[in-house]
Amino acid sequence: MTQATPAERRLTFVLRAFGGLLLLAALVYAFGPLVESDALRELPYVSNSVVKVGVLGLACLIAAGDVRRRSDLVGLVILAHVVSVVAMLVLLAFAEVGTPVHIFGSDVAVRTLLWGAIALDGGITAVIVVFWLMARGTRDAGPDPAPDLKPEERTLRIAAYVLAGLLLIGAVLYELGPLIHTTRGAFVQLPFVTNSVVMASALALLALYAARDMGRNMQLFGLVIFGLALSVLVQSIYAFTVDLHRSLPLFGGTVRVVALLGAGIALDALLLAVLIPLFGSAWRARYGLRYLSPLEYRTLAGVIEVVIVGPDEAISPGDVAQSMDRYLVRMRASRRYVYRLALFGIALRPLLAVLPPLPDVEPEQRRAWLKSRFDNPKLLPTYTRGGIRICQQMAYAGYYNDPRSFESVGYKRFTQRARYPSLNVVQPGPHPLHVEPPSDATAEICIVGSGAGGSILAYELAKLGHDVLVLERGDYVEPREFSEDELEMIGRLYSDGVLQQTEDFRFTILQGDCVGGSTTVNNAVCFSPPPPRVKDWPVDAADLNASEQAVREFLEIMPQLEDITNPGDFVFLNGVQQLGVDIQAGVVSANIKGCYGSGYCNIGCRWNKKLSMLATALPWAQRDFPGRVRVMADCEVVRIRTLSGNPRRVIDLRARSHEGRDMTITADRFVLSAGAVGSSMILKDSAIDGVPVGKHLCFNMGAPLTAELDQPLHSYDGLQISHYGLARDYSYAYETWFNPPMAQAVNMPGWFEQHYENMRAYDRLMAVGTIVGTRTNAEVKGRGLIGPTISYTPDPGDLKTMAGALRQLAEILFAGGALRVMLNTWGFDEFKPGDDLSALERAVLKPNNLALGTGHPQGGNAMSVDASSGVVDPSFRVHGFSNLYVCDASVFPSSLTVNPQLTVMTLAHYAAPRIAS
Amino acid sequence: MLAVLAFYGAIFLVAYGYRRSIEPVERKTFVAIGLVWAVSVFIANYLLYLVGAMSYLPWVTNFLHTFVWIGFVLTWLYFGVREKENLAVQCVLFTFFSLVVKYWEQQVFGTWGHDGFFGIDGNTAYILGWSIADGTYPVLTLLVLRLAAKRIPGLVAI
Repeated sequence: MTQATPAERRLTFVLRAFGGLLLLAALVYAFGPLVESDALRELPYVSNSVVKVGVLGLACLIAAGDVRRRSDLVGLVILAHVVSVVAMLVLLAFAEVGTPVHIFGSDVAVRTLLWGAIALDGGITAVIVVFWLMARGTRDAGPDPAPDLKPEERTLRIAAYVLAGLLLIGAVLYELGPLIHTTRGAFVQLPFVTNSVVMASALALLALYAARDMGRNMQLFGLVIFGLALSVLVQSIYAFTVDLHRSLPLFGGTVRVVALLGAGIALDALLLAVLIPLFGSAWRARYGLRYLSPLEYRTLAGVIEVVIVGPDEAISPGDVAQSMDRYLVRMRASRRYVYRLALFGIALRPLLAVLPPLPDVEPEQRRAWLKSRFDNPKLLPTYTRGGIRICQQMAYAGYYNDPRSFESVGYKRFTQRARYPSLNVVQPGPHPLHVEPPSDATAEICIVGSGAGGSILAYELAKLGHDVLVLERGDYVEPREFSEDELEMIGRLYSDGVLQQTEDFRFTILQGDCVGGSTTVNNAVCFSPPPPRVKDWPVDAADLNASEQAVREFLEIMPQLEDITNPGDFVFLNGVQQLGVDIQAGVVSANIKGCYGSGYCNIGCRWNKKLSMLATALPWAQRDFPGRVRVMADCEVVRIRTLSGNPRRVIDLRARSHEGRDMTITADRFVLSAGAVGSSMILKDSAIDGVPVGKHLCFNMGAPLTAELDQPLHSYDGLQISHYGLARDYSYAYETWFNPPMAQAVNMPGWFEQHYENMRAYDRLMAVGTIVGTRTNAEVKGRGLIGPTISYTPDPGDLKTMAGALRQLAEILFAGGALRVMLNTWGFDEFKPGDDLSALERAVLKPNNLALGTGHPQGGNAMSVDASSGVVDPSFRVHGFSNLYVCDASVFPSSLTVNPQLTVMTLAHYAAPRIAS
Repeated sequence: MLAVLAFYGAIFLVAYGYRRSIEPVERKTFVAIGLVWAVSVFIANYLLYLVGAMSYLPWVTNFLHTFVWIGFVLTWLYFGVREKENLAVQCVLFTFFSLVVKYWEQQVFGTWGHDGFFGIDGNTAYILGWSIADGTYPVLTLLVLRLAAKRIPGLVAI
């Protein structure tokens, strides 16, 4: 694509100016009747004027988006204005134009108004024609090849021709109306009548233009649909402002305005009812869309086209967008519409800058607009940035999940790696866990959640002789169903498809959402409950220690072998040694045995080498205690029903399957083990009061530092988290962490070309996450319009700890041989050896600059002897209740800094006899 | 009177569609809510008539409206929808059913003939206004029941 010529830039400017003015005029026409002027209340002609200027305004903007390719559309705009001038001249010549019109406080003759309008439209036409002709001289772009039409597109083409014919007849009738003796009485306010002629003509021309070459111009038919929808909307608004009982003379009789208006709305609505499905099915047929709307799809493809920029792009934007569409349709997140909302919002956001919708903006300008609004959004900054970020991440996810991109980043899937055949990998068979479909059920003890807490608790309670029912909100995905497709697995295994965020969209909270909970998708890293962090917890330290040892034996938790650790981690270890940093450092302990080093911990271990709850506690409980442990998947608890009294008692749980089937679960005792957010939300939804539910939430707040070396590392080919560093006072921790390309791309610092370049260095990268256990200043506030509302603003003290830890980490990585390190910030902050690292600390401390997230939410239902400061007592029972317990990370009174799964399991083991008694 | 009872019955079928029975554990709550609403509205209707805010409801009509319609049918409906629909939908449902019942009672008994609702003129405003007031039933019940459950044992609040 060559750069725009000066003539094209001038035409673009003119079209944007007229487009903006026409849209402004549409607003005046639309809302004028609400404030003043009898003249603006004549229907349906004034509402037609709204449609006319609205459609032509948008057509101007769309043409301005790429004047070289849309030269014909400029011609259509010109033609519509010529029609306007001719229509008015005909009326001047043959119609009654001497009557005055009362407009904006004064009487003006129709003749004067028409001449004024002719001058205006003529002037607009002349200006556009001049600049258009100048720009046409430089036209050099060949048209895109027209795709073969699918049957649905051919049907739409026929509909477009028919509609164009109807609209042209309408235009003629509008023009003849004021000229015929028996009808002229109904055609009041002639300037608006001519606008009606132009409206019908413009829509007809657009429909014809689209139909003539549906392969290239189908999106322009959307403008016709927009016009008809606008017509319905404006006429509906006008219904509140006009005298509906007034009558107009027609064919010797009279017609009431209410009938005229009703007929107009009904006709347009009928056309829309036919055309929208045809339009939608034509787009779906062309691109195989199953979830996204045409506008959303085009927006995503448009974003992909400009954010993945490099010399050797492996996949077309359309392919990536289609792949995302297929992913989204399979995703089981209640909040997946956030993706659509982001695409829709970003598609229309350029209108506020008098630009066409985003997909219609020429690529260079689209990229410039996205960059400027991402770096410095002036209007709605949180939502604009958030929307652009979501769109970009969808682009990266779709592109780097596609195997065609792997070669360019130097990645090989596990089954394609050279060492794979020598491993003699045994493929999994049917999983030995019986999971029931959702239904009403009764049990002695009901546990909500099948993660680290719920599963260990289920095993231990069964061992104590109790009948247990474990409910899981997510699906039962057998290990043999785990694939190497990151997107597919994230959609199936994670809560809200990784969309769970704090209310300001700045902090992502990852959580597993499947049988086995987060243990199915975490890195299985185990740390003992840190003594300085748990010393004030109201638990028996000796019993807790005994429980930890029991869990360690049960899950065979052990330090991992060096031969499967992450190949890039030597950088971190060498750095620590070189600098002599005073931290604990080494290979992590984990409930992983016989690991192949596939690097797939976060998308489910197909080979059951990770001893997750899905692979161990749940099937083992059914094996060791036959008939005592039942597991039910796809069963989301929506409410706890309680009976008042002192103490209160839980009657039953109301639950719902994904398909909306309601269920009732009764039991003697109920234990919530749904995680810090999940358990808090259930209690909140059940109006459990008198205790501080959802308060004192905290996290292990994480931020990665990515380092590049001068040699291939193959960091993807080994355990995802294999080494750690831990401050002596447990104030922060480091964990080496690397992902397959899709997840790495989503977390990769930089945007646009920088991101592309960074991904090209994928094979030379390693990354280390810095984790800070936060203060308990977050809160699960309840259910908002778009799901759980979690409020959190990082405490300045925690951010300062994070800044210091990241600076120290940069020094470690440089000492280990890194050529550069990159912070995951909104902008792009890169540092090289010898740089002043105080700038790194400043970048971290800059408000809302660092991208933060967590996989370790904790607290929310803190354990406390006092009901005013905690939700559960030391026996895990909710204060004031006789049979309701909570046992998961939500009962932590403080954050740990280290991975919490072993502490959760330990607490579950410790809690079992207390709950049983 | 039979026509009005039949109309209540027809709407009860809608409520019955939402919920087929009141579980034993909820019956105390059902009776408490129904009685509190019935008695309080019965008295309020008369007092509001005395202060000129409502038209006169004959005792039998008032009894039917408050005890049968509000105390039983609306309370059953509340138990049917309180766990299934969000609060806004509940309020719209209650407003709608109150509106149609008032119109029906007006047709049959000639009641609800007052001309205005707290300064807004017209019988339409009167009927619509009190229907919207009835639409607050789910909100008020939810709040009062939660408060009551703190002191009175055996109630099922949600």
